Amino acid sequence: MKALTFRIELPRLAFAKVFGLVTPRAYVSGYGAVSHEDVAEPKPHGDDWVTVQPTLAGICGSDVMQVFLEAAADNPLSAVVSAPHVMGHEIVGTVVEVGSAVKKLAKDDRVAVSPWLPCEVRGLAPCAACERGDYPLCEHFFDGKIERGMHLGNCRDVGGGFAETMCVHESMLFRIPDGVAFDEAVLADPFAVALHAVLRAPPAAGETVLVFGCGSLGLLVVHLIAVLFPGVTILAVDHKPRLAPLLERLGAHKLFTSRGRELVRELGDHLKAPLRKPFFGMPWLQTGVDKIYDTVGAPSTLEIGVRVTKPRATIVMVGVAQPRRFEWTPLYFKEISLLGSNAYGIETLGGKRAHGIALFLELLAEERLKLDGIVSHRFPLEKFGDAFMAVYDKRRSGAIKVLFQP
Amino acid sequence: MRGVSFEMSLPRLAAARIAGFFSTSGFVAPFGPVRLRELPDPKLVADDWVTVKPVVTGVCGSDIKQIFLDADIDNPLRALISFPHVLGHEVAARVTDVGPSVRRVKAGDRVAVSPWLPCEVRGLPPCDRCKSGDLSLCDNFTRGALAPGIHAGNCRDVPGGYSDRMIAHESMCFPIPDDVTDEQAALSDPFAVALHAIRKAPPEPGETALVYGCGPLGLLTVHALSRLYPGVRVIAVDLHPYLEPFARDMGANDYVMGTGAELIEKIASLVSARVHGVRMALPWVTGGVDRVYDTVGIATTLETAVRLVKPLGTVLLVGVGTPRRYEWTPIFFREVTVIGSNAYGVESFGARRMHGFEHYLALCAEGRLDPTKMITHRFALDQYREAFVAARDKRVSSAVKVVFQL
Repeated sequence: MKALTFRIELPRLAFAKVFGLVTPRAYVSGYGAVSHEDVAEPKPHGDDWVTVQPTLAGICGSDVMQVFLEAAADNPLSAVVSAPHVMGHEIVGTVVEVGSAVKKLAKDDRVAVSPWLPCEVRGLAPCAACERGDYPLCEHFFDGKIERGMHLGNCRDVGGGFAETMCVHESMLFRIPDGVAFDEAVLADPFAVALHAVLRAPPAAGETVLVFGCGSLGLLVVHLIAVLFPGVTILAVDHKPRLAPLLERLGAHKLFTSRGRELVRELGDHLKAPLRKPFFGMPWLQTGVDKIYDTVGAPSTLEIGVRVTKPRATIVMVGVAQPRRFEWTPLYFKEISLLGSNAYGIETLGGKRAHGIALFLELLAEERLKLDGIVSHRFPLEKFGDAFMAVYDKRRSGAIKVLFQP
Repeated sequence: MRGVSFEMSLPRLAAARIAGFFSTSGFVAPFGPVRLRELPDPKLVADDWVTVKPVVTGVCGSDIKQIFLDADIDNPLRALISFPHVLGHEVAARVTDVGPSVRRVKAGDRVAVSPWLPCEVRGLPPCDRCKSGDLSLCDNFTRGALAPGIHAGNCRDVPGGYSDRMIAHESMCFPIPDDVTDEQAALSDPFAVALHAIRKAPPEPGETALVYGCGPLGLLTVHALSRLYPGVRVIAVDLHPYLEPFARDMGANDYVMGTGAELIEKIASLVSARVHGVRMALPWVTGGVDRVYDTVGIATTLETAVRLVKPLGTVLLVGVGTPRRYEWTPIFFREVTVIGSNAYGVESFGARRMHGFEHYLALCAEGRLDPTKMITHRFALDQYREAFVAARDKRVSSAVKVVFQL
C-alpha cells in the first residue's frame, strides 16, 4: 500500500537540513525524512484488532514540527518514538475487517480513531494511569507486544492514518453516530485535546480568559468554552486579522493581533489594568485575565502570558513549541500556576465520565457545535509536499486545518 | 544612621562589573554600588510608625543576587523598586521610639520586622489582595506615602536592616516571645517564605517531597516539612558535602548530591522509579517523587525537577533564579503543575489563621521548631564585604546562613 513514512536516517536528515537552508520545500521533497512510498500492508496484533480504511486524516502541528525537523536535540520524547513509522494521528475512516474477538464494531462502521497506545493496546494489565483513564500518562509506552511509541503515527508497529489502510486495537475506535459527517468528526483528536486542556482548569462564569494562538486547537478551545461554559469572556490572540470573522462565529469576544509590548499595552487598556514599566524589558500588568489557554506554548507567549494574568491565575500550556529562555519572574511574583496538558483520556464533563472523543461525537450528534470554517484544505497523499507547505506557511496559504484524503 | 546602601549609578555598576571580573570581592569595592555610608536619620512617615534598632539581620539570597549583579536587565520587578536603598529585610530588632498613635508595640520591645510595604503601610485603604491577607500580592507597591518598593530593603524611603536604625509601620512589627532568641526571630522571614510555599501544595502523609537546594530557604523547607508534616519522606538535594549534616539536622531523611542525569538516576533509585535513557538528553523517568520544592529556581533545577516529579505532580517554584532556557517538554507531557510562590502574608496553618511571622514565632515558642543551627557566620556591620563574600562563595566559606550582629 501507499503511505507517508517518516525515517530517521542520516542521509535523509542531512539532505533535508542542508537543502532546507535554501528552501523549506526540501524537507517535503521526498528525499527528506518524509516520503510517499510503498510499504507492507499493516497486520493486526491480535484477534481484538480492526482494519480501518482512513477517509480523512488531519495534519497536526506536531506532524509539521516533525517533518521540518524542528524538535530540539534534547527533546525527551524521542524516548517514546520508534522509526520508521507511517505518520498521521487525526483519523476518521471505515472499518473493513474485524478480528474474531472484536465485540463493539462491525465491517462498514464509520469510526473516529484515538491514536494513543497505552497498556490495553499493548496487551498489558492497566497501569495506575490507565486505570484512571489518563492514557497519555501511561507508564508502558516502552513495553508489551508493540514497539515503543506513545501513539500511532510515531510507532514502528502501528502505522498512522496517512495511508490507505491501518490496523488498530478495538479500544481505539469510536463509532461515528449517523447524521454526523466525516468532515466534522475528523476534528475529534484536536477537539479532545482542547477539551482536556480546558478541563484542567475550567473557567467559571464571569471570568475572562485568554486563548493564545488560533490554529485549530485555539479555535476549538474558543468554541468549546463558548458552548459549554456560558458567561465567560473569551479574548483571543493571533497575528492573523483574517481570523476575526471566524472567531466571532465560534464565540470569541475580541481578537488581539499585535505582539510583544504592544499586546501587553492593548490588553492593559482593554482590562483597565495599570501598566508596570520596568527600566528595560517588557511592560507588565499586576492584574489581568483569570485564565490563559496557551495553545502555542512558545517562550514568547509564555513571557506575555505571565505578564497579563491576575495574581494566582492559571495558565494551561497545551502547545508544544521548542523551549527557549523567557523572562519568567512574574510566575513566582504573582504566584501563577502553570499547568501542562497532554492529549486526553477519560474526561468528566457535566458530571458525566466518558472518553474525550466519545464526548465530542455526542456533542456533534446533538448539533451543539458549529465547526464549519476550521477545515481549510484537502490534499491527496501524493501531494504531501503541497499539504505540509500549506501548514508551514499559513500566512500565505490561509490554512487552518489541512486534511489528507488517503 | 549608618547603613549598607545600594546606588543605581552606571559608573558604579560598571566599576563593580570590571572589579568583580577579577575577584568576588571586587563587586563590593568602595567604588561600586554597595557601600556602608553615613546617612541622614529616617523620619517617621506617620503617627503609626516606629523607630527600631536592628539586632540581628540575615543575609538573603536575593540581596546576594543584587549585590553581585546577577539579575537580568529585563527583570520586571524593577518597575516596583526605588533607589538608592539600604539593603536587608530579615530583621530582629528593638523598638526605640514610637509615634503617638502606635498601639501594637512600645519602646524596648523585641520585635521581628516583616519588611513588606503593602497598602496599610503606605497609608492607603486596603486593596482586594491586602483585604484577603495576601500582602505580597498588593496592587499598590508604587503608590501612597512611600516611594515604589515591595519591601524594606528595596524602597528609597524605608531603609533595610543592614543598618543601625530602621523605621517601620507598627503593622510590620511582631513581638518576639520571651523564650525565642533574636537569632531565631531573624529567621522569621525566610521561614515564612518556606511555609507559604509548602502550604500552596502541602504533602500528604506517605508522600515523598524533594527539596531542591540546601541554602537557608531549602533547609527551612526541610525543617518545616519534617517537623510539621509527619509521615512525609523528605529528600534534600544540593551539590556540596558540607551541607549534608545541616540537611540531616533539619530533618531530611535522605541527602543526595548531584545534578542532571546523575541526580535523576540517584533519586529514581531512591524512590524505585524506572529510568529510560535518551540520546543527547536527560533521561526519562516513569514514576517519581510526589512534590518538588525548588528553592533554587534556576533553569537546571527546573529541568531536573519536571523530570523527577510524578505525572500530575507539583513543582513549587520558591527560588528566584535568573531565567534561562531549559527543556520543559515534561511539563506538558507529564501534566506537571508548576506553581510560583512569593513571600507570605496572613496564612492558615493548623487551626490558626495569622501572619506567617506569628506562626513561626509561636511554633518556636512551643519548641516545635529551632532552625538556628544553620546560622554559621556572624559579622559586624563594618565587615559587610566579608559577610557578602562569605554568603556568595559558599564553596570557600562553607557558609549556610550569614547574619549581621548589630
